[in-house]
Amino acid sequence: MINFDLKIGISGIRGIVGESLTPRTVIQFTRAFATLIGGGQVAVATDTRPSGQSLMHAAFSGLIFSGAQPVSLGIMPTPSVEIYVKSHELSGGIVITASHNPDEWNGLKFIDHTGLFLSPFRAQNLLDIYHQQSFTEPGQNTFPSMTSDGKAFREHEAAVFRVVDIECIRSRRFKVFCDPGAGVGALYTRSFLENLNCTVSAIHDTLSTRFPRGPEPIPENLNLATQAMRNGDYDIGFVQDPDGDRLMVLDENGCAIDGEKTLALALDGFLPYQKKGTVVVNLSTSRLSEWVSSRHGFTLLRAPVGEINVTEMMTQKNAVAGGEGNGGIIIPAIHSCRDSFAGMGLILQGLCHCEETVSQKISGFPQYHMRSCKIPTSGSGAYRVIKRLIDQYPGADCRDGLRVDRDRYWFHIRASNTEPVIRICAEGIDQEVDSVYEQLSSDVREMLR
Amino acid sequence: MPIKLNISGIRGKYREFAPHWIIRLVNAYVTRLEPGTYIVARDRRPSGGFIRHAALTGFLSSGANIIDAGLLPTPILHWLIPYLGLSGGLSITAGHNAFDWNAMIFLNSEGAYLNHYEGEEFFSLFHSGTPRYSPFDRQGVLHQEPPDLSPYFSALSIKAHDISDAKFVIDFVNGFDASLPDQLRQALQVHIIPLFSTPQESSIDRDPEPTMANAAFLSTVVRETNSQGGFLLNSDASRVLLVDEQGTPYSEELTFPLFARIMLEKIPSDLVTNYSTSKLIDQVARHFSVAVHRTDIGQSEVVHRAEELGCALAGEGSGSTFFSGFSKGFDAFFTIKTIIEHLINNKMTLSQMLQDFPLQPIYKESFFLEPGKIYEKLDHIGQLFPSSLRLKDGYYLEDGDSWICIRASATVSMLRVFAEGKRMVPILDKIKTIIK
Repeated sequence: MINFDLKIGISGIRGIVGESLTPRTVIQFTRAFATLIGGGQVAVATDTRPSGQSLMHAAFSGLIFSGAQPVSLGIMPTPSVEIYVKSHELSGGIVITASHNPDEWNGLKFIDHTGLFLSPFRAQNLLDIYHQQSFTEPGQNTFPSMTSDGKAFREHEAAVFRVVDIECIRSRRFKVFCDPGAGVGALYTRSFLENLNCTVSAIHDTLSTRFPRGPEPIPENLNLATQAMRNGDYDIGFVQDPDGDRLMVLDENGCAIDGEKTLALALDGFLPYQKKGTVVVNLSTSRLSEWVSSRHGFTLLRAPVGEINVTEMMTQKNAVAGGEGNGGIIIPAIHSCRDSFAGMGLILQGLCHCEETVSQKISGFPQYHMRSCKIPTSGSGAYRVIKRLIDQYPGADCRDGLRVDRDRYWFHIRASNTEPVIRICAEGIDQEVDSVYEQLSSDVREMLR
Repeated sequence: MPIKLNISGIRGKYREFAPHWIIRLVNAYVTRLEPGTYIVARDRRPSGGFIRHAALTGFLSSGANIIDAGLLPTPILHWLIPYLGLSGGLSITAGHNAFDWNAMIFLNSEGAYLNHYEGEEFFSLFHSGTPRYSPFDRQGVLHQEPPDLSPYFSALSIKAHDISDAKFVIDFVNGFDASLPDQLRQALQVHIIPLFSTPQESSIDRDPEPTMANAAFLSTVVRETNSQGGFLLNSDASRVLLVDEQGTPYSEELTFPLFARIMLEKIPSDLVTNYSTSKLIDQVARHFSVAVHRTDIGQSEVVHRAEELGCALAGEGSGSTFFSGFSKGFDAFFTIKTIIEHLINNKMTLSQMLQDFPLQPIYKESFFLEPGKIYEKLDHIGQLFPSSLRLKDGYYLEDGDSWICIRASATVSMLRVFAEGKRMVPILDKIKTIIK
């Protein structure tokens, strides 16, 4: 099996620091980006990884050399940078982050002048420039200088506060526990929640040279948070990933609520107060979001997996909300990007208007049973398998692999955008989905032999 | 024009400094040393910004801690590195070169240019082509607070009585931070009229080489302000040219002899200079009964030779001086302090001090050549003048007080021909014919 240590895809690049991701790679990609956007101002920020400083200066140098002016935002959540690029009408943005990947990884996310990630075509264009090394070269002996702005998060916070009912939240004086995992939330989450009049306790809210827990906000990484919540008296717990775009909730007992339910909670806190319309999620997202949307009179549409695919469809359909089942909540009234801070605001808003605890709210949701796995394969293997399966299910949704919907279950099989694997995801209302999932996984493994 | 690797500065036109190449260079420099803390500074050249960012990445990704000192001249780095106990440093400045040039000058833990052995090791690692980056949890730390410069400026304090009326003009060639003139004024305790000290990054106000041709504006200001003298710096403050109280500029060849004469009254020491420096320095040495040791050209050669021989004083005809008791590099600010202190304490004028230096005609010419042609031409010249002395990078021919030196530039792909005395004119013409 080939080891793809440097992952280059439409969502940016990721690699292992000093090995597959070197300063040279960052320089060449930032030069390609400066060339793609034709110069102008580019916001640059990093998450809290110790390699962020070094790579940020590489980005500054690459941008300046190819005629773009970096605006340094320092350590900043990805959604704050996306909002900043749009509101300040910059040419683009770069976030130095490997999102939820482990410590030794880092990477670059590229933001277009719209404040959204590069569309698939623009991303392909960037890769062409990178591979052809056809960068803008310095002209006259004048170079743009870097400028700095440390206020991007405050603008982001204000955008969230314009959308949520802050007075109502403040009046409830929630007791909140948070675990930013020593990511960007370590610098911003406590004050964000305190500005909502919450009483805040936190763990992992100082910066260090290593992440103190697995950086992905998934239940197996949250033992300490669960334990701490059980020893205290809290209304809710929030967990973020290193660049602050994904969120996970812990109920008042410290029990982890997965990303699918976190998204449903946020939608439930937001949709009742909006004009009826459309919600967009991806093809692998739980039917729970569909249930919440329908409950409040909204139509749910599905886009291929990947934030940019979801946000592009949201723009086309003028959707009021969207998201992905990994805890990515997207509210265009704030900005069309995954935003853990928007998620926190909306979930607290949802709790404001009812007398239920988090666990009570969750118990009121229909109980879906989800199974998922990833099976290593080459690109050609994935293509062959998915092609065969598509032939077996005429009329099924094949915009991103194959999604088959039945009354009692659905499944989605696709090639990953970031890893050399096939991902299988299945969900149903009862155990029937288990046999469907097991059969499908077994068939795929057989086809790959 | 390709970049030339040399321990006296890795120098080239701004376009040639590709950021990934800079990072590799810094990585090679750091890899050969123990992990530690380094300092980086730059002058105000427009290209200094992206070179600085790439250099910071080079240090941090190689596991070195780095102090980002901003706009700071090289002499202050020479002084600060040993004072702060740092492992080394990098000055981003092309000194006297035009503003579309830049250079990276690496300094060792003593604050000196790299010596021959350090340089060889550094470039071997660079040429090996395999950067060694640190893993994610051993990246360096960036210190962005500017270092405290007050100890350096305190060391420049003038020891003299009755200095309140003294007034001098200094042309800073827009090379440094705008606060520098004030800091210097406080240290020297004299009135300083600064020229070209505005913080305009892209401004190219004059050719940064301190030559008489570039001193016209300074001369005028000295005259019109009734100042006691003027000092013309290059953009890293390693060289200085003098203008007397009447506004008359003096060749940069006079700076080192004057400095040496003042210092030798206090400190007995042999002198070290290069083969391209005027014989005037030999007159000063004879007066004080000390010897002159000549060496190959370049700050690294001169300073390291002085250290090897235990000489406290050295300099070059380009307007550079060195005093081992102050720092391990050329320092125009120390030269200025020394001259002003002497003028005030001895109640003399600059014209009085410089009138004893009868300078013979000096010829300085440079010839750009393709990199492959330089040594071919040098061979030809060497065969034509078999009695000449073979230098590391050229030839030296002497006849009494007259001499001619032909050498490959250490920093640029060119041959430099320097000569002193009319007797050398026919030889000079012959050599020019060969080169052309």
